[in-house]
Amino acid sequence: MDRTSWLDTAVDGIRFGPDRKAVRAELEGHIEDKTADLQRIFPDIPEGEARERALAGMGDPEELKISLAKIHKPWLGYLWRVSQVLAAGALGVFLFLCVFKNDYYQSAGFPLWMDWTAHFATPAEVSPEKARVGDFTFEIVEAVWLEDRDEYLLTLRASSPRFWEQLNDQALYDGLTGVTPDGARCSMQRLASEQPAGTVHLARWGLFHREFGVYIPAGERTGEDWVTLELDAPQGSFALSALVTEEVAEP
Amino acid sequence: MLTLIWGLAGYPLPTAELEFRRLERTHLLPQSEIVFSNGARSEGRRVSKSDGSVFALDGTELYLRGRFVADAREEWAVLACLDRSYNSFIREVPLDGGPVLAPLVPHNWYLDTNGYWVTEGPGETPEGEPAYVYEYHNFSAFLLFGAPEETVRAELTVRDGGVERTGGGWALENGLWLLGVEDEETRVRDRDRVSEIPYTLRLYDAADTLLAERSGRLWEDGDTSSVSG
Repeated sequence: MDRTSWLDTAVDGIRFGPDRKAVRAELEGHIEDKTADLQRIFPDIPEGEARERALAGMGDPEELKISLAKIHKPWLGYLWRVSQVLAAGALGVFLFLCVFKNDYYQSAGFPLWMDWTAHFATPAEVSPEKARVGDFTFEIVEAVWLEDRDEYLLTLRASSPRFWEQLNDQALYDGLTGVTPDGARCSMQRLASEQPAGTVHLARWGLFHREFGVYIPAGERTGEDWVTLELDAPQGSFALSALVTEEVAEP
Repeated sequence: MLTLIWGLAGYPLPTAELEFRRLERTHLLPQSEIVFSNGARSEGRRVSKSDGSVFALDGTELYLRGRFVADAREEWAVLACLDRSYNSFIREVPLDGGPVLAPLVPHNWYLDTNGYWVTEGPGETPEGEPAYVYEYHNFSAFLLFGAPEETVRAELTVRDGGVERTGGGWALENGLWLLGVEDEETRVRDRDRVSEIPYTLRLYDAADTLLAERSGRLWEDGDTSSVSG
C-alpha cells in the first residue's frame, strides 16, 4: 500500500472535515519523521525502502481508522466551530453596541462615554488656555449667553490620561466659584435655591475627560463679557476666564 | 475588549491602598503617608469576607465592616471607606494638634455597629453542655487622631437618640487609637444622624490623670464627600 492510500484509509472514519485534514497532516508528519530516523540509523538504506518500513511501522490503517473514528466525533467538531462563530459574533455585536449605542449600558454599569447634550460655541478668547490641578487639566471649551435664562453657560472640561480616574462631581461643586464681568461671585449649588448661585451639571464625558456645564446668573451685560471660573481645592487652585460673545436660546 | 470590560465593571483596582489613592486624586485631595488600613491578613473570625481587621498594640484583633484607609499629615488627615455602597465616603479631617475624633460612617448616616472583636475559650452551650465558645463584642467605631503619647486609656461617651453609649479604645500604630462605643438594641428610628450626636472624649495616662478632654458634635466641620458606588 502506498503512503497516500494508507493515509486515506486511516483518516476515512473521521467525518468532520477540518479534523480529518488535521489528523492526516499529523500522521503524514509522523511517517516523514520515521523515514528520516531510519535513514539516519541506516545510512545505506534506499529512500523507498525507508518509506515502506516507516509505513509498516505505523500499523494497520484499518485498525487505526476505527480508533480515530471513535475519538473524533463529528458533533464535537461542529460544536467547536459553532462556538467559535458565536463568540466572534457576540464580540462583534458587543463592540458595535459599545461604539454606537454606548449610553444603553447605563443600567449595567457606567457607560464609557456619553454625548447627548447640545453643543455650544467655543469661546472667542480664553485666558489662560488651560490649568492643571493634581492629575487633571482644566479648560473652558464652550461659552455662551443663554438669553431665555439670562445666564452664562460655560463648559468646563476636566481631562486626565488616567481614564480609570474621573474627576468627582462633588469635589468640583464644592470648590467652584463663578465670577461675572461686574465682579459678582457665586458658588455652585447642585439644586436650585432661593439665593442666587450658579449650578453645575455633568454634560458629557469620554474616556479621558468629563465636561461640566456651569450656569452663572448674567446680570448686566456689555456684549463682550469676560466670565471667570475659579476652583479652590485642597490640592490646588486655578482661575480660567472666557470671553462670551455668542447669544443663544438653549434647545 | 479588556478595557471595555474593566470600564463596565467600574475600573476596580487590585488593592485598597490603590483605591484610596485614586479617591484622593479624583477628589483633588493631596496625598500623604497612609497611617491606617484594616487590611490585616489573619486566621480570621470575621463574619463576612468584606470585613477587614487591624491589630492593636496589645495584640487584640479588631474587625471593621468594610475597608477603611486613612492618611495624615500635620494639619489634616483623609479618611475613606472604600465599600461600593451607600456607606462609602471620603473625608478631610482637620487636625489641630489635639485629639480629633472621626466616626467611621458618613456624616449623614447613623452610628452603625461596624466593628467587633472576638474572645474565645472554654464555655458552655445554651443547653449547659461544655463547649469552646466564640463571643463577638460589637461596637460603633471611631478613629482618634492626635492623642497625646502618654495616653493609656480612652473613654468616649455619645448620646445617640437620647441613649448614652460609652466605650473605650485600643492604641494602634502611628499614634492612632480605635475607639468603640458598645452597641445597644436601639431601633433605627430612635437614632440620630451622626452629625447631630454630641460626644465627650477623655484621655488618661498611666496614673489615671486626665490628659485631655474634648466634647462637641461628631463630624462637626461640614460635609463629607460621598463616593458613588
